[in-house]
Amino acid sequence: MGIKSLLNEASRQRRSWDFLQISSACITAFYLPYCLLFAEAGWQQFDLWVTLSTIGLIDSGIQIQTPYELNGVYKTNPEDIRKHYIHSWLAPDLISNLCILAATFVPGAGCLQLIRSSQIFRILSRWDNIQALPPLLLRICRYSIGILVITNWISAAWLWIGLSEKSGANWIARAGLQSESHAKQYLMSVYWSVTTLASVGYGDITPKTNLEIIAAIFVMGAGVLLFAFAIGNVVAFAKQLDDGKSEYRMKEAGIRRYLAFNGVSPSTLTGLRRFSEYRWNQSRGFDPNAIIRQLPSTIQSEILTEILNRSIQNVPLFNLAPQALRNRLLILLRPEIYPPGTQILSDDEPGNEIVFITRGQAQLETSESLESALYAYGPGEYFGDLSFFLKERRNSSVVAQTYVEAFVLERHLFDTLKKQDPRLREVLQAMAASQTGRNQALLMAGIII
Amino acid sequence: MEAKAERFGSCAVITVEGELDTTTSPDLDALINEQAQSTPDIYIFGLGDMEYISSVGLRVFLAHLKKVKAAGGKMILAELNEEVQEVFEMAGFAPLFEIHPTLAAAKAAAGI
Repeated sequence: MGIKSLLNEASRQRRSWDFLQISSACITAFYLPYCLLFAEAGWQQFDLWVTLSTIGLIDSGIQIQTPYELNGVYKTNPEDIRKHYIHSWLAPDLISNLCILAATFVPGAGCLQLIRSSQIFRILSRWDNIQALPPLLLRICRYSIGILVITNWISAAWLWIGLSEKSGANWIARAGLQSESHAKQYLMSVYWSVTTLASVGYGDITPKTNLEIIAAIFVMGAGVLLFAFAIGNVVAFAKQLDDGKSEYRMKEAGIRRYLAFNGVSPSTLTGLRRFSEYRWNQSRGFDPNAIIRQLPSTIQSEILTEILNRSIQNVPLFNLAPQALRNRLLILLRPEIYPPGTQILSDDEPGNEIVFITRGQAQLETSESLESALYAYGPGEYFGDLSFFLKERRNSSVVAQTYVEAFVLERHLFDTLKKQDPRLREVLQAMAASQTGRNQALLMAGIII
Repeated sequence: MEAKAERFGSCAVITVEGELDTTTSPDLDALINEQAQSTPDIYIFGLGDMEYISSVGLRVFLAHLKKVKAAGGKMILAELNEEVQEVFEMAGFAPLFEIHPTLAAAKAAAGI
């Protein structure tokens, strides 16, 4: 595990280290209160707490060198990083990890280790910032762990009240739990906390002493807030799961209603509905091009290259083009989706477009008889070049057999790009070598596409 | 369009001027057929003054190329202007022919 990868918040090694920190914080949040309550003869599990504190100190050493993001800026200056950590979490981290040294001679100092629990939420929040996990999953984790930690601490406090009131009239004595094991007493305390927080209140464990009554009032108040918060979030999560699709479908249904009102035929509307469904499945209702085109051009080509990597890897125009030209082509070429049965290129129209298929199947429609292989166009193949370079009208059509996703090179763009970057001509020439046999056969059969 | 043919041994040199389109392509086709009577091994086409080539004109070249190649001969194109060269290169027909920048270079390649 190299120190360099540990200093990168997005690396796998750092993720593993963060998991270790979360585990350490969870052990502290859930197990430390139990150990503190039953520490009659010194510390329980002293070795464990020393180990967790040591890990915590190593983590401080890592955090003080870890670059961080602030308002979208990645800060790598060592001085800035040091100051950022010193002014934020250094003091709480040192207290939580060094208090173990004082715990042997200062009673109660060990409970300062509970500050370590904050690591859970700090790490989850950092993962949210760098989008390491889906936001919904992170929210669920944050709220669930938060509720469990609060419930556990309330249970510990309730048990502490029971143990500290030695009169024999405390809730432990009333419930007949004095001779039970520590674990059983702790379990019953958790049981009381949950039933009170959830407003169930079976009545088998009830507050009688003043301190118990005060505690119960606070816990009931906290329960109302906590469970209202939890239920609200569960509803929000459930809504969010289906929200995108419902919203998309409502919008599409609105468009179809408008079109139907204006006399568009049912078959066209069915085609539109199918197209909407296809687009949902491909891009979850987003138009990636519309979103991407709002970004700076340097980021545009980077994103387009990455999201289209799989679909353009077979397209010779992009494979053969040098990086800079490929980036320009990705931004400038017109992306299109053609539903099944639509004419991608129609006959009797001027050849002003070349179509590069990235996904789907298309077929040449002509009355001429050809070898069967010449009719079909699939991913990585292109057409329209004969009429384009001969500057003639097409006499045949190409029709989509399935949904066809393609990039379209238009004449005005070709003319501009050709002047600006002579490498486009070289790329098209190299690409055309694969087209020789097909174009020769088409031309000899009198087909101009 | 105007096309002229000259013979240099087993080599026919044909120069084409003007636009090779649907109307004029049959004339070039007839001229090549006429030359083919005496079965030359090599055809050199000087296209320096050919301004435009249509699909029908291109088909004339491709149809004769097939026959010439079947007889073991070859077709050389020379002096293509930028537009015509673009058609041959971008539509994928350039690899089928031997293409030279000048007529002199084409003749030298044919050994005349």
